[in-house]
Amino acid sequence: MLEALAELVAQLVHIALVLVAAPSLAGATDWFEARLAGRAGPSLLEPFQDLVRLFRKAPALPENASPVLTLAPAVSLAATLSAAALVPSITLGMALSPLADGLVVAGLLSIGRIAGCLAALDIGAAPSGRGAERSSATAVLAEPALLMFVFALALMGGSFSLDQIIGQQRDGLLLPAAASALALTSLLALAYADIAGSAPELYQDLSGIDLAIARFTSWLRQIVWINLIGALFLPIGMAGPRAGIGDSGTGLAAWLIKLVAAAFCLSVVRVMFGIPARQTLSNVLRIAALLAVLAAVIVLSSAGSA
Amino acid sequence: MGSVAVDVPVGSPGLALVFTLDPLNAVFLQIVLLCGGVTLAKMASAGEQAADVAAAAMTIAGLSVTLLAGSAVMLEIGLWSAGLGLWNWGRDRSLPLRVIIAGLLALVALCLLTPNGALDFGAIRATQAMPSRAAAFGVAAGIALLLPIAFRDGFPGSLGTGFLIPTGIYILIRLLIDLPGANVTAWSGYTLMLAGAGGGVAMGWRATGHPDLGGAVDALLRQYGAIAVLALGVCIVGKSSDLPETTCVGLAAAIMLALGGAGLAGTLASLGGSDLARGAGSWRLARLGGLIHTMPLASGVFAVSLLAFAPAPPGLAFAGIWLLLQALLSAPPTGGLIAQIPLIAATVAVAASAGLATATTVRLAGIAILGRPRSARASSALDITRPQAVILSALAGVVLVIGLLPGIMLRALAEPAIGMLSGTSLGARAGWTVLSAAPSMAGYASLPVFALLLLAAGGVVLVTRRYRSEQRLSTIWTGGLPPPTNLPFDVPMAQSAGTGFRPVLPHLPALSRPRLRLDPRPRLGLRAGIWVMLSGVSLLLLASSLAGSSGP
Repeated sequence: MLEALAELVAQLVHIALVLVAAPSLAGATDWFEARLAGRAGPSLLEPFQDLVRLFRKAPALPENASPVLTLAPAVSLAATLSAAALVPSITLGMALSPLADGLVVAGLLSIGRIAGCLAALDIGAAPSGRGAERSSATAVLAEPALLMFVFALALMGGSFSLDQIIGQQRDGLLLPAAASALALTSLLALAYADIAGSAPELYQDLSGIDLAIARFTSWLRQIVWINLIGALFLPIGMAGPRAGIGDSGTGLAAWLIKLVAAAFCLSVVRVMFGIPARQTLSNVLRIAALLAVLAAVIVLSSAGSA
Repeated sequence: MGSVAVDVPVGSPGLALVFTLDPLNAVFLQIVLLCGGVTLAKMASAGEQAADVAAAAMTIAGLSVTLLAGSAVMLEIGLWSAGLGLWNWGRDRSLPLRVIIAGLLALVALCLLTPNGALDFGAIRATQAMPSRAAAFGVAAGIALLLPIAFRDGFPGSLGTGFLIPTGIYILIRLLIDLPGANVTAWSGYTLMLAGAGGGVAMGWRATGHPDLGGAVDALLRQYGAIAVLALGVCIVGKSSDLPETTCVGLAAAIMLALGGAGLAGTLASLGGSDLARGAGSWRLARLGGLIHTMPLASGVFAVSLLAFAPAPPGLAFAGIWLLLQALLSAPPTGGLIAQIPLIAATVAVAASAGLATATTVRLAGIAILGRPRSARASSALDITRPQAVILSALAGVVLVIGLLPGIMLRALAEPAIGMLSGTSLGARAGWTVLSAAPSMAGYASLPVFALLLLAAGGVVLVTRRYRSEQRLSTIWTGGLPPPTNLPFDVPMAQSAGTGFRPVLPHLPALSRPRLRLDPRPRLGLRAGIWVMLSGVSLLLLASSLAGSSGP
């Protein structure tokens, strides 16, 4: 009973931290980017101020909008929040860890994107439809690459369960190392393509609360990618199941350091590469898929020769 | 559950007209009869022509005979009856011809399997033989039923596909897994894996770009049929390598994808899609749109089927793909890198198919149902009647329940068949709410994931509800520019037409099709005809001499 309560508390704390970290990461990234470009930079709290401002505005819906346009942003946020809740950040063994399956997390990220595309198509305007087309065409490359990455990871860890894979990574049992390195590179490429490739036309007809939800969802998605990279390949400081307050505090500190480092790296990438062209993103996704396949080949060949 | 065989006392004793009912055909028969019953009820309530309803009934009856067949001759009778029904149902003749060809191939396979000329499945099973030629014809028979056809307006091709794909999968299971027993051939498994991989990607690519609603739905059904074939291949490879987990989970994936995906959800998508097309007056996606306002009932039914096809939790297709990837994960890792290439290719194909299926479902939902009507007819479309909505809603409910509780289909319907064929029980792998690869491992809990989604979405809606009190309607923002003036149906025609949902492939000049059009009526002169006849006779003589030299 006490253990279940502790797991539930850990889960709720994780969700609360993720909700606060999403706009904070966006603010920190913008600030780092401005500083690297030689500017003073916006306030770190500007994303929060944007959300408050959008909440106060009266939303305007197109005349032909169906309930899909009202519900889709909520579904997109719900799916992304569910994925964020399943990917551990501070500690393992949270209340929802039995549901933390790699394929389920990939599916939830897919639902988040699908809902955004459906909202854009429901608007019935040419630019939003074009944004939905581009997003779907990119996803035709991105989702298979993500599935191949998850499969390669499962080959190394023996299961699709994230907790099991992270536990093996912490114990140094996620072998072979070459495959693990390729999988990490693949995940980095996928994260970059997803973060840098969000089509702005998808949200141009949203306003008020709907635009606030859409922006928050995109920030939350960045947190999911960072947590995946940090948990699967850099679980340093992460507390194990049924950890005490001290270990959880260490995990929290380690996670905050990872977030700050991720914000800095994101800003460096933005300053160096700017907004990538669509063809560049397609090539990045193809490389990510190829790296994931290579990782799987290395794992299978080493297993066959063992 | 054991098997029951009934001899039909018609014709000579050697004809072996046998009906059989065992766990394998029971699960397929239930789903085909359910889909068939819903289709017939829907057609009758929609006031379809009596001849079409009779033809559909004959098709379903023929497929039922095929599933209940306990001998080669009865299987042939069933497939030919189904082919005859399809011949009378629509104007396209390629599908019934393929069904008849599949029947002939299956008959040849069974004749090659039979000892001493016996055509009864029981006698074939007792010998447990699987000559390579029989396996080849068996593979060809099943795949012939799954080959794509060119969609033509007005022909319910996708409707027939919803029944034919489960029957094709059943024929493959019967010929390649059940009858050979322990002597399954690994190469037939690898062949099915590669055929399923190629078919899944090809049909998925076709579905994302097909301009017609019916063609896209048909391609989507065949895509999942091909993935089910791939899952069967994994099952056969696992059985030949004596891996019960791979066999069991692969077979579960094949049944989930064939019956749940192509069968139940496919029938629902075909019926809903045809209602949308008839109401809007066109099968062309670029002429539809906004049907959620004018045809809410039909749109809702079609949307449920697309939810089932989308490979995202808690959809039905996601459960099947999850099981398939688990089976691939547990596939034999031995045999060196060369032996792993089919497994890698299969995994890449499953991943690619999942991505293409997602794009197709977004495309069909967004272009056909959402947005604004792209034609005058679509803006005044008439919805389906209440009786039709009740019938389709019942099937939609079944599809939703199986997606939320995939273990129900596996435990309640398919577990005896899986146990009979794989030699091991599903057991704790398929709980009522959880699917797992092994009893002690965590897996996919569909209902808790759905509950989590619902909780999160409900929370977001409740928190943001009060901020919508001042919500107002406005016109669509066109970037500050005046709307274009040369469109036949004004601004709604500027919407997406569903043509950009797949990535642009690199141009390969060597693979480009030539643009020259051949003479549609090639004329065969007398000299050419004589050469063709002489070549054919020579080939026959060569074949018979080779057969004679290789005889016992």
